[in-house]
Amino acid sequence: MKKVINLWNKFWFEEQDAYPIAAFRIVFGIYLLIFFLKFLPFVESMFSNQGVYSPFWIPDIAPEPIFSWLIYSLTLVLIILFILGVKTIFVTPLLLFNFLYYFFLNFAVKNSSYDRLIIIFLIILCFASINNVWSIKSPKEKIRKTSVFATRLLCLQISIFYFGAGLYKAFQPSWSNGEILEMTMASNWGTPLAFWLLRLDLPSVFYDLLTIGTIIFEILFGFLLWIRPLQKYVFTLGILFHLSIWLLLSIPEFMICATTYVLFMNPKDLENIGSSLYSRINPKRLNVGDK
Amino acid sequence: MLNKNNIEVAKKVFLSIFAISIFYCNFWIMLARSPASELAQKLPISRVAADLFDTFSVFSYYETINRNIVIRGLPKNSPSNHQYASSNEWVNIDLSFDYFPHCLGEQQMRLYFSKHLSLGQEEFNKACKAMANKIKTRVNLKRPNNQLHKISIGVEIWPRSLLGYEYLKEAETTKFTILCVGD
Repeated sequence: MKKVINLWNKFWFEEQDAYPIAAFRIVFGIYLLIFFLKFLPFVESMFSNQGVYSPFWIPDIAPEPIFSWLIYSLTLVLIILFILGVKTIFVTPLLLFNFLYYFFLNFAVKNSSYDRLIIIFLIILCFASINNVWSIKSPKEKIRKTSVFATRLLCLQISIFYFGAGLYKAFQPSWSNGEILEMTMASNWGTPLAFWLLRLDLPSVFYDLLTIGTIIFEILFGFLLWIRPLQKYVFTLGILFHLSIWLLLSIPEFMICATTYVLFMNPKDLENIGSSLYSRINPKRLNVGDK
Repeated sequence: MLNKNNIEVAKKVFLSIFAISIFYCNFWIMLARSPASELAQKLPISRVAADLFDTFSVFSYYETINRNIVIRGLPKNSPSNHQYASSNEWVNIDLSFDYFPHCLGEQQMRLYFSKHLSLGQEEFNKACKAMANKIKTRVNLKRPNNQLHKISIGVEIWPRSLLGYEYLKEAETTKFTILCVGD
């Protein structure tokens, strides 16, 4: 029993360099910034009481346009503070609360998985120290090591997401052949590129193989992410998969999955990437250091 | 006694329970969406958690028809008595970026109200009507000289084609049904 507890503690609570969770904070934060910036021309029509939206599980609490702009501005400020790692112990829960406000006011009606993933990720991040490195913090406050808990939980959550999606498709009769891919691309989600592909009139075996490939990919992908020697190829495959969903089905929001890949990386590799990027932005500072 | 060690242990216990809860919710959803879904119904889970973790069923089915939500408005200055307005007095409202600044798929998802329908037909009707009234308010704000008396939300259905979204959309093949009419 003691051995089990020790293994459990080692897996969930050992200390590691904070670069993976910090990298995720930045990449996920940039994703959230882009996510909300696309609403900039439509704040009034989506989030104010003069707009067109459908609240779910809450009464209609949309405010006057001026207040909708204030809340929206606060959202952008919170996201920027989150990216910069400023007081994340307060900013992260505030950002979660803020996102939940938008979710129940406007996003829940469309029943999207990526909105739920945003909420799950923010909940998990509320229990983590995510600004130990790569943040606006005084050098004295920066502690390089942090508990691996949130990193592991986020990694497992995204692995389960891929696996669960693949397993679900494996059980669905509609995913037994390629017709689902053809019909989905020909639906109101299909882009001009999707219709161009369909008009090539490729044999049905092409779509059948694509369907089987999608199921196998999703079932295995969550496990492959953990295998460090393969990560370069696995990450590329994942990004291409989500890019195809963007280009063929107009859903760029599933790139949220790709933001989690940094969590699986070796902290040392991330540190080196970070230093390399920093030296490109700030070459003078590096020269001073070299002296 | 509250000392640093006990606090650390308590923190680890709390986080462990939190992690186990996350796994349980994921496991419940996987079970609920599998052939063993009846077993999932016997296991406890809150409605909120079940809804939050239900992320796996993306594009779970397909149709061989296209459904397109159509918004129509009855002008205030229409010639007949509004109660007996004929269908050709209703004008189509363009689902432009001013109302639904999304791709067509997301526009339609927002107007199917599937989340509200999952709570019952009454919730669906309430949500649909509320949306119709919001659209009317916004249209009338934008067009003060050409205001609308009512908005209807309906759905057009026609056969799906691989050659184009509206390739088979013709008068003979397209059916129209009203989902709700606003106040």
